[in-house]
Amino acid sequence: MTSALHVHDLCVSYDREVVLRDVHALLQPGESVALIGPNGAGKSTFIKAILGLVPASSGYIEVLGTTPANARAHVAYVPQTDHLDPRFPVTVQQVVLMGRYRSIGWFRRPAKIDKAAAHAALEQVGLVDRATDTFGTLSGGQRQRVLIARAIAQEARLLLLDEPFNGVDSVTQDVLLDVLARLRAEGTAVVMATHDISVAHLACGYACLLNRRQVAFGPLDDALTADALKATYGHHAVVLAEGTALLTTH
Amino acid sequence: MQRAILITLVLALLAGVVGVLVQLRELSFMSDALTHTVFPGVAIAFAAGQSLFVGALIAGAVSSVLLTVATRSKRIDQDSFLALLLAGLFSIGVVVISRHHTYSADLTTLLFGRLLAVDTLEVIETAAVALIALGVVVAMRKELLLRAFDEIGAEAMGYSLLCIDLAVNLVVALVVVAAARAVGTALVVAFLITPAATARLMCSTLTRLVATSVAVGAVGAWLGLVISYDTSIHQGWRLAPGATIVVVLTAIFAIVAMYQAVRTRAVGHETTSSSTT
Repeated sequence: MTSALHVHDLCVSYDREVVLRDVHALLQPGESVALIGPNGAGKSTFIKAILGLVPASSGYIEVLGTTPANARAHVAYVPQTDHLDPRFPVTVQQVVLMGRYRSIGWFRRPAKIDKAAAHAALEQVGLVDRATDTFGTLSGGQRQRVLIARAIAQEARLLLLDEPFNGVDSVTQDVLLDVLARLRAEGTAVVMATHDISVAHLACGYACLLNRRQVAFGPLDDALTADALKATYGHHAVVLAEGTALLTTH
Repeated sequence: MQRAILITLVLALLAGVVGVLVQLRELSFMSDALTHTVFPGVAIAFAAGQSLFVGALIAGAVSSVLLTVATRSKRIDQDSFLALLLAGLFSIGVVVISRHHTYSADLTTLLFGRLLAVDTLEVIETAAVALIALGVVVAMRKELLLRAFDEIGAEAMGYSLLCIDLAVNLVVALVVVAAARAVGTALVVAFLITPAATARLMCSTLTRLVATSVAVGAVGAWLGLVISYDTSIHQGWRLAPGATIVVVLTAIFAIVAMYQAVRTRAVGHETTSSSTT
């Protein structure tokens, strides 16, 4: 079986400054890994490297058995919503349809099958009744759900999420957890950047701890040890009991 | 006069559609830079007695490529580079024209157009350019929408932002080429920006935005042309038609902006009153 993600001794540099090093990871289809670390730890850099948007200065990344650039059609990226202009004149349905653009191809219009896929994706996130509303009129959590729907419509085999649970309401959190569980059951692998360890426990089976280098990678309970969390967060990590960690700041 | 009306309606359609794209991508300064960088092509063609249309096309194509590559580079201060290129190339055009003994009149014509003197060939050339530009926009509309809305998402999906940006800049350059002889390179940017900016005050969906932008452009262009022509014939005032159109478009924008400001304030007062009762 081709792995969803295989990373070996990855090192990424910006202008000769090493921003991430010593990263090893292996993820099979249907598995999920939480990228955990403080701000500036390299979580977004790692995601960009998986997308092929930043080059590896050493080591390699294999995505779905090929190079990151070649795999992009089967990889869906869900960014944080705060970089999107809420005044942009686009409807919810139009945003979700964007997930189909690559499969539709250049110069062609969305077909019925694409609109049906977009509708089905909106149903999964519980927003089909808002399809014709302007994207910016939705709450932050609802906008995050729309971006998840876009990724669902793309029918990707690897899903990359950048802090999807940041500042979302409990309804959105439940919807996202439900969707991620369903996608994993269908064989989609998930890589999720988060600084929230409790969410990592709920959504992922593996953890990758980063602080400009890989501190640990493995099944959640094996990776989230007191020593690993201390190495990742320094004095900001307070380990309570049975693997539950309290971060005083991040 | 009929040819002038026809060419302004074609330009209103073209600029109305492309102007929305410029607005959504926040490319107003880039568009202004393109109007200036096309100018030396027009000037050189004029001085050499060659087709202004071809001169503008070549300069537009070269400028688009140059500006696209420069604005994608992380090593160049884009703002300064655009300003430098704009001033530098524009000055080259002025220097070329200044060698002519009819320098002032020629410069005026190139900068502000000669809308009432366009001939049938110029109308056909303008329509052909408009067709190509609109064809590119329609063909690439979903990619252009994605790029404008979510740059990171577009790149993550595997789209070449360089290719999309080059296409956009070429389309804007085509608008400048199409409008240069009618309204002049100095006023093209107003034709491109003002109707779209007016429509943005009123519309929140893309379809309505484009339709309103085209409508505002067409009404403003027609009205400006009629005012300019009528005052020339009946009042003896010589009002430059291109500039009059821009004044009318600006006035429409100002009226709509004031109306929206008053409306927003009135709605705000109603909300405050109903929440306190």
